[in-house]
Amino acid sequence: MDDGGLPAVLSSPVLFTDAEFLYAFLPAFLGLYYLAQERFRPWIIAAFSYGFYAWWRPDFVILMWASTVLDYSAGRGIGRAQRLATFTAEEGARRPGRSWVWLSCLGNLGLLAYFKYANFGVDTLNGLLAQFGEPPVAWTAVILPVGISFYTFQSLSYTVDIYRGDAEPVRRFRDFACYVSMFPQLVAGPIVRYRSMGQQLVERTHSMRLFGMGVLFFQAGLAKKVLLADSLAPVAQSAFGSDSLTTVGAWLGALSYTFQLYFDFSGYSDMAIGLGLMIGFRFPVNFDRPYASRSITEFWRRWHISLSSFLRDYLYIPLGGNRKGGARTYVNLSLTMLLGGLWHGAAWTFIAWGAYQGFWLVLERLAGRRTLYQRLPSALRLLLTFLLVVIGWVFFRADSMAQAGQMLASMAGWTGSSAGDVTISGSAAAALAAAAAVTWGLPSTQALVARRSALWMLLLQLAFAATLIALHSADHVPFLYFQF
Amino acid sequence: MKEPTPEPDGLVVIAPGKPRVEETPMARLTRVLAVIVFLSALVGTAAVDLFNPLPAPALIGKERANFDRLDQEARWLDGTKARRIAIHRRLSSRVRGTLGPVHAASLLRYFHESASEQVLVGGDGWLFLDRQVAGPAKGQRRPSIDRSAALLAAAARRITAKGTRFVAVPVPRKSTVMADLAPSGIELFPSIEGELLERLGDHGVETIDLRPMFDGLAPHDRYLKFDSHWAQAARVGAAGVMVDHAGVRSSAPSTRLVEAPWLSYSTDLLRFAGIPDDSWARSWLLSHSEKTFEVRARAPERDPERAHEGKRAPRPIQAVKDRMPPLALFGTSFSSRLGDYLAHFADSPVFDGSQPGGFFLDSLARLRQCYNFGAWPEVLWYEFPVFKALRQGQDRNWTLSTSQGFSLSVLPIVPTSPLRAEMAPTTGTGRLAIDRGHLITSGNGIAMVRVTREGSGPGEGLWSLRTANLTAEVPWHAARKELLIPIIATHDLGGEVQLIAKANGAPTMDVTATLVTDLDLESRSPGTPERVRTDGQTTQTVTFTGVTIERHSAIVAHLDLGSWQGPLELRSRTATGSTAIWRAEGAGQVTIVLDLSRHAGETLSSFEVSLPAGAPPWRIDSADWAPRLR
Repeated sequence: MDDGGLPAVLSSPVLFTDAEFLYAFLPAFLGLYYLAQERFRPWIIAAFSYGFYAWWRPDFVILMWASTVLDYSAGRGIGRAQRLATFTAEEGARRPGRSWVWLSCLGNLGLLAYFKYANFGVDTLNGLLAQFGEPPVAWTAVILPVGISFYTFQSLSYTVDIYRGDAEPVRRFRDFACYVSMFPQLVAGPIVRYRSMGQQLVERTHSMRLFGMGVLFFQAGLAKKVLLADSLAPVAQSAFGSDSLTTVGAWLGALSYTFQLYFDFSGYSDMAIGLGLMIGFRFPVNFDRPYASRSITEFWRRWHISLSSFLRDYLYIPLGGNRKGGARTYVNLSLTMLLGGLWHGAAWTFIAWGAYQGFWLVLERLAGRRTLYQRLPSALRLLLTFLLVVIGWVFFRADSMAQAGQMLASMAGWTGSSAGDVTISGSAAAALAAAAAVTWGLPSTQALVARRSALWMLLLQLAFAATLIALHSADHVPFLYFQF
Repeated sequence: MKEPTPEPDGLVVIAPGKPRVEETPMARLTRVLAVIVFLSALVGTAAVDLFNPLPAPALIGKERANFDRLDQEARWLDGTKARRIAIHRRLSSRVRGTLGPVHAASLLRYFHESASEQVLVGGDGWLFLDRQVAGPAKGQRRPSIDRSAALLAAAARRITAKGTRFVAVPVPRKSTVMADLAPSGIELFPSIEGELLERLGDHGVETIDLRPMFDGLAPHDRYLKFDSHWAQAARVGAAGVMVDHAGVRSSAPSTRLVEAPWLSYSTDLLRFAGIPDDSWARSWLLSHSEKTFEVRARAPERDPERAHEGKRAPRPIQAVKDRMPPLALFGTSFSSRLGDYLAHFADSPVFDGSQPGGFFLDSLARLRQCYNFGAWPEVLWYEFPVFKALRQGQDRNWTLSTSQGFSLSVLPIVPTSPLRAEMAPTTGTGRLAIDRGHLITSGNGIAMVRVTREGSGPGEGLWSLRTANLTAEVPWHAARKELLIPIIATHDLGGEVQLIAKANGAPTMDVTATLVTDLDLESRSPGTPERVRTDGQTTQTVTFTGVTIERHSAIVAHLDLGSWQGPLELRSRTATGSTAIWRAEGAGQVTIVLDLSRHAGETLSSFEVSLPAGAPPWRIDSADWAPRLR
């Protein structure tokens, strides 16, 4: 990991907070989009999306293109097989188009496996070889293409949905290319499933009201990212980069990262939803005040909703869900969370984080609804759940299991010295207080936008102005979820 | 508050035609306003930056060349082109240039924070430049002052040999004299000033400790709050201490020192913190409590309000070659006007040879030029900020100038650009296969190359080194695995340095060429008067005592060959009588590095330079001893 907590890549993708995006890409895109005839608009979206992605690494566009072509073909193949099957249907015959789904799975998951997990696999193997005194396997590290986890999942959901009969194959390639590459949610979600986008790609409404709502979403997301998340980033960075922390310093670092991650990612999701609304698309809600949860189960209904529902529908339920008895349910739950952790990154820390989350989910399910915990006051349950989440983020953020252990030890009071302790600046302290106030004092962005309060919208304009001024000053921090 | 219910698949509920809440006219108006604000900000910024960009940054020299090179090397495929575009946009954005300082000033004023990592904020909003606080590695490792002290002592010995009283005046760091306002969480190493003075004393260098003078001043009179330089009040105080120390204070100066509030003072740390000089956001921060002083010619006005009407005293550096002042100040731009104050207190002209920027001994480069034709000064104050002495030993390009005899210790042996070959490297980086007669060149001509031979082939032969004013041949014997070849020049040679392989027998030879990055030197006295040898040559000798030669010990010699252009012979002799001879060609002023590895284990006794009889006047400016080339 580099200083920003991101894997070392040759260059950063365009960020929504980049001047190139805000003052060149977006005005040009919106201008062309609204000036163009409706039939050209999908092409404009696709062209700008490929440009958006190519800014980072033009050669990796080929990868996305390959995934697009593969799944478009697979979708057509499944559709054709299903149409044929309606004439030759036999009782008990397996669902038609299975081989196309396998091809799509192999293609997408193969891409993901190579680009995301090959380095990890080789490193682990070399570690083992070293234990036995064997020479390491020669390997050139693979660069992780930004957003590959998101677009492969989206693309995969298309073929699976068609196979299951939840969606119709797309008729025009341009619509599918537009769906896979759509820049607002291309690199960090929300994960948009084809079944909820198919109709919108063909027909959607554009209105001033919708555009206005999109602007409000975008402004809120931008403010969350720049004013809150980026202000907390140095504190988290300094804590997780330190060898020795006091208990207070460790908690300060963990809390800062907890809020940084939430406002960074939910800010990005808000911006993506806003951009989508500006061009008439409705994307899924991704966050619903997760830190207001009273249990880990509830937390997972509110955090990264598009991923958790994807894992539920495409992994947990196909594994059998809760339909095959108690023990199998717990295994399925644990496995789903483990793989969910691994999806975030190829490292033992992510696996540990997934296992940690799975443990609490299983425990809550085992305990049932009538437990002592459920009788505790609501505020106390919120606090306990929040603490468990904060502890979980330590695994998520740490560069290694050793660092996670060190951090948790410091948080538990087993602290060595204060030599490298965290100091919090005035602006970071203000951001931390503001983050807590927004987290527990304000409703979600969606609720605020739906409220249509003039006062709130005016306040948001002030925040937007402050955000732009801050953006024009120092360098800003890349979005954390770009690494996944 | 009741959260809106998500639709199937969790899509946002703001579906067209499905308003959940009735929108008031005010809310509608505000929403339209939000759209206008949003689009205006985006399009407006784009338009301003496109049609009214900031002028391109004024880069010069290597900075410019480096910037252009990065532009040229940028490629779309690896994302570097995109990065360069972003950098160009940032540099030319007028909106950024206007709004950025507002944010930086707000941070500084309301949170006592700096928008730049270069600037640290201490108590009461005082600013400190991070690299000045503790030297090269802020808070990480203790900076060494040993080498700086040795270098300064070497220079001092040579100057003292001219009959000049050399007084070193290290200016304590801001973080030392303002310790109570220094930033927290940073290791300040407050004892370094004392150690440097002690070390210089050990070397026999006369010094002035300015710390007691600083202690007697109010905080605003010590250093400037928003600047990296010391305050003028402190410079006035220091001037008094310096003339007292030298015993040259005048009891009745003919000039007068007046407080000059009309003079501006520097605020460079605000610039480093992202608030440029022309930004109106500065007015939020400046209190104008700093004092400025000026030396004026006439007697004090009775009416203090009219003090500024007096004629400014002439600057003390108007001396001409044959009438150089007996008092001289050399040092850095860290102390502008210090010469004026010294001249005032001493009531005597002071030659101000201070030189901006660069290495802390750079200004000595001017000394010999200035005093070449006249008597050397009686007193020479050498002022330098202590933090500059801490930077010694870092990887940076220190230019060696051979036109004076005092900066020889400042060897520039840091890579300035990669070595280039006329053919592509065979494998890896830095490995060159050099055909007979082919060249490798150093981009800027300032390097010392360590050539390590690998591969087969006898590799016997001569390697010759050519620069603009020196050609030297270096034998490479078959058994030799490593060769150190100096490439030293007085100016940017830009490809003029050539290393030529003239290997006999072996058509090719694989070598690895790396750049030597450090060289410790111990100073010796200049050459003895010229003497005529029996073979008709004229020779000058530098005598060494108690010097044991190790592998890669070296002599670094500065020769002033006058108008001579032609062959010269260099000899090193040991106590046992063993002699090594090098032959070279040179002209003008040259620097030569002799690798004495062949004498390893012996004691060096002398170094000689011989020119043919009849050569015009020439001399060995200096010959220094390098215990080991690394």
